[in-house]
Amino acid sequence: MSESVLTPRPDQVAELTRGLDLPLPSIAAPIMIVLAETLAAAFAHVRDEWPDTVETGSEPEVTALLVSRLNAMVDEADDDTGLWRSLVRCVGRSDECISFDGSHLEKQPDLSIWLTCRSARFPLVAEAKLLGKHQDRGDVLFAGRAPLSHWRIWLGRPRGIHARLCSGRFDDIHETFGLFWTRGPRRDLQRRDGTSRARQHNRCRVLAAWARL
Amino acid sequence: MWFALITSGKFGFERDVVEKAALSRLPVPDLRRFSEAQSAELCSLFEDLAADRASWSDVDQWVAKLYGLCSADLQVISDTLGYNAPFTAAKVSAQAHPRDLTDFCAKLERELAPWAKRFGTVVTAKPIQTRSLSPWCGIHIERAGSTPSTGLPGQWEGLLALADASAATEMVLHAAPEVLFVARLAQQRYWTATQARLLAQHIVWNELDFITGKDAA
Repeated sequence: MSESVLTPRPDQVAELTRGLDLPLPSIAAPIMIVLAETLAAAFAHVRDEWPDTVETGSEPEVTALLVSRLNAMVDEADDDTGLWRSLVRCVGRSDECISFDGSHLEKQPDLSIWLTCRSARFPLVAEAKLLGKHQDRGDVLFAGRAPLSHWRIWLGRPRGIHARLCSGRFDDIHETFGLFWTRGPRRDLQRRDGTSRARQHNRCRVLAAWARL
Repeated sequence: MWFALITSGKFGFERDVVEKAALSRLPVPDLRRFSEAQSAELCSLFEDLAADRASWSDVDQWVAKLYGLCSADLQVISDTLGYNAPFTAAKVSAQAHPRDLTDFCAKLERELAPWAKRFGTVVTAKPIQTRSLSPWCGIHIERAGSTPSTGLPGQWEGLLALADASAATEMVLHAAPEVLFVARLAQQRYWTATQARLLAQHIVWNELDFITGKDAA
């Protein structure tokens, strides 16, 4: 890691995957839908409770609210959170992780969701992206085909090392769902089914109008 | 005790005494910083306990609330101290024959209920009657709509034979599309409320088709 020229680091990869049977089993679609729905419900709750923050806040502010809300749902013992509690240990703001070949550290997507069935080394990740306000890379990627000023959350496998180790290829991302909702008057939430190829060609297919927020 | 078991480098591993260092690390709240409402609640609890109007369980609940622990956390702590503490009494309790699997089944049903509701099914769990000296206990998890099968007792006996031969501590068998057998060693430590929650998680992650009914299609 300290070398100026990045080279693959088998030692890092070996430690990361020690004792694990790879590829990790895929997550069943019904479970992914439950996770995605809960993220959507949590975001709706945050937006209802703190509309000003969601309307004008930065990505870190809103994702911090979302993380707190999701963790509170793990602690709550009511029927509404029963599905979430049986799937999720806790949620955290993402930190750095090693790249797919261990050669360098890279930033994880925004949310790490530690699942009850999986090693803590491989949390499910979700990328929350605020589009339309800040001129970050996300705007360049998505603003051309999306309404301005909305939030997008991608829920799926970590990019890079996880996808490569687990599936051996990048186009096997059937665990990935995209959620987006507007910050303005348009409040429909749609679930998108994306394959990487579809995403690369900007052809995400809208499966169904998913929920009204 | 729980804090020492989790944080001490010796208690539970090397010896069964709690070191002074572990005690010093206990995050005891400063009573002087309590709000008036908290102080009043504490005094009231103390008086109720002294007058036998409250139990130590009530005190545990108050402490759990103070530390932000939920009921599931309390259950984990209770089961761990009851069956995994490094004391003879806990070891004896852990290996004792399970008293009653009805509570275990009820807890399992409660944990699976949100999933069954989501997929429009009903999942029930019942203890399987075993010989009193059998080293195995088992439960029978059933999705609503199953038809009684006459071959289930034979499958249960076959499962136990396989479990004995493989030196397993747990066996899970799809006895029929709508019936799941779970066999575990007849020791109380495997049949606690915490274990019921873990089994429910196992079923959700690994036997989801059993709940949804897709395996019957």
